[in-house]
Amino acid sequence: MGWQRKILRVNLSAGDCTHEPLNMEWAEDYLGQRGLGTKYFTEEVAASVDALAPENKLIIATGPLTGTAASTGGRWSVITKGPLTGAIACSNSGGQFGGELKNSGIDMIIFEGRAPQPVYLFVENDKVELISANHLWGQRVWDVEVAIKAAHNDPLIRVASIGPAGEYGNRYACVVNDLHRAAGRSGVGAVMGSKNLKAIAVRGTKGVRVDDDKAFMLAVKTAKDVLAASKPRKGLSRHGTLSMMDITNTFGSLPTRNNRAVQFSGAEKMGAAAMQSPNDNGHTNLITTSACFACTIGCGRVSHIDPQHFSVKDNPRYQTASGGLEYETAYALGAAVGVDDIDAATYAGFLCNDYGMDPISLGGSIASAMELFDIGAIDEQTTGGIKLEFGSAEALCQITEMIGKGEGFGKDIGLGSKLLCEKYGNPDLSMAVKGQEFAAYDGRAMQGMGLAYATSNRGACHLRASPYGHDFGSTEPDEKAEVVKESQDFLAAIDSTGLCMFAKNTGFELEHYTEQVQAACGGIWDVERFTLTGERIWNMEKCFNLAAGFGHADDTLPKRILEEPAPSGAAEGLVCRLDVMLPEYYELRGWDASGVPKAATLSRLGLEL
Amino acid sequence: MQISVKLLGHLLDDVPNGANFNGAEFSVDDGTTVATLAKTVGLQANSEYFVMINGAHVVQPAWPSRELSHGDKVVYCPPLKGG
Repeated sequence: MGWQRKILRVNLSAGDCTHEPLNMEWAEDYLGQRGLGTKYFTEEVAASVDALAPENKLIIATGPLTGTAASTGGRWSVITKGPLTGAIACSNSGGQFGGELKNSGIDMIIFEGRAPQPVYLFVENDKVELISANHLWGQRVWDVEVAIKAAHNDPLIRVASIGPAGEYGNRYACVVNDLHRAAGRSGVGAVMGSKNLKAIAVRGTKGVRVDDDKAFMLAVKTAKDVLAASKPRKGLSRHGTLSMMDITNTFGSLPTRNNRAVQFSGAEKMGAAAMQSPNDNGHTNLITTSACFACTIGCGRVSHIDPQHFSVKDNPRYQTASGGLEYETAYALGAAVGVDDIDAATYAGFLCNDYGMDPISLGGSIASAMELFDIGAIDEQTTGGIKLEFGSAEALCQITEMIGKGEGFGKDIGLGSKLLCEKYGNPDLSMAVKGQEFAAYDGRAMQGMGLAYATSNRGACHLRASPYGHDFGSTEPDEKAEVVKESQDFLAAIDSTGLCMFAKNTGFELEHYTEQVQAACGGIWDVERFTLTGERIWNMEKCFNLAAGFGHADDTLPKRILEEPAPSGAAEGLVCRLDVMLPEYYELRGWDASGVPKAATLSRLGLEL
Repeated sequence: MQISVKLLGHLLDDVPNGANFNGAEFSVDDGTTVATLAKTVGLQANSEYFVMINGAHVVQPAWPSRELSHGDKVVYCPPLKGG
């Protein structure tokens, strides 16, 4: 139970949709969502596949607790090979879509091949249909969702779709659901676009059964009580993730102007307090807060741009209330590009949702382009007349729209910072690992995060490990390897449940996850089995990447982080000591000195290379 | 001596009159340390935080011995976990 025990396989080339039983042996070993989706993917797809070829597959996966009453039980993931990185990609989203999909009676959808013409998949419980999307191709996300709901005359349908960015192959195109939630990272939207799959629309009313109703409700209540009483949870509900801005800026770990700096003079204008305060026109950016399916945290923000702001003054489409800035977006469209205009960043964030792009990689790629512009490697002739200077809110807004449309130099930035900087002769200016741009933490002040970026299986990522507390306590490299390894394992397991890692960040112990999983799924799910499952998932992802051609040389960081000392803050004068941490990390993982899992490690986990 | 104290994030809600600790200056006795200042401010023993003084990080083992100087700017930050 917990699982619906059924998957939907959609062969887009043939137009076939078939239901299959879920492989329960795999479910017991990999749980669901990230773990189970990746198990199916790595069993069915060669690691050498071209990410944008029909032979690549795209898996939409829920977890055993998705769609249940468990707090934060709305998570779902997209698993594929990522075009931004060429590595395993698993991108996680919230909103309402995942719960609806699970309630339609399936655990996951596997998309294969490429549709001859644009289509969208419509699922209404057991009814499954591929429908022509010729009329939707070229449309932006917000219009697609409205059109599909209208076509089926059902406002309760939940939609996950791509925008124009996913259609043209933008390497960091995402899959957007419920207008402003997204499976954001690694370019999963470009894979969807390469398959001529515009959207997935779902209506599910079947419910989700659990193994032990009474034990499940008790475990759910216990866990909800923990969140209700938690101070960090209250802080996250009240201020959103943007409250991190003050913290990293004070500490000196806020990547600024393409990591040239680690503190941003405009941070105060981009933080949680600024979002909640009226501007000179008396306009307040924040309207209200929001929560995903079954979530009792509610970190989401709903924002409205000042109608007098230059970005929307003559642009009524974006004079609306929509998903507001969270910390990562505010960093990427703020400090990373040197912009301290909260409405400009909100506007660029709206464009990301509407065109279907990951704001982290978009902001990181624009930051690289701004540095290329700054050093004279590109000029206004290259950019189509845009003065792409750090700090220019106008340039940020203009170039974001060009990237969304794939127009002119915008299409080059849509390659991601790695290919962009290689194309213009300065590969060291890409602040990325395995081709994926940094998140909002500098790896010099936060040494553990540096190691986490370098070893993340999907490229630089702040969600694959949780060294935050340790990093804010010490800038020394000691003990970071253990903290990173352990958190990578338990986060891989959490990402496979259908619940949100923010519950762990704001009060859950691992037991709160395992008690709910056990009550829903049956059997014995203690913390030991849970973290072992996470370790198995991590090593499975690693083995795929090794087979895809990644090696020791790819577990690294940009030269700037390894060789240029942080200019200020807690880590002033320090570089990231990856040379110290990485060998220790490999040892703890049971990998050899080249970062290859040893036979004994794989055997212990039931894996093979 | 005069120092300034700022609390960030949910620490503002953890102490009585947290809003007063917004970087405003106030007087403390000579010999006040990072640890004794935390008690004066009202931070609870089980509160998790890190400390920056004049932009530099002060590690936890140094809190009992690190004496403050006139004009110091002290910031207490919760170690938020990101996402």
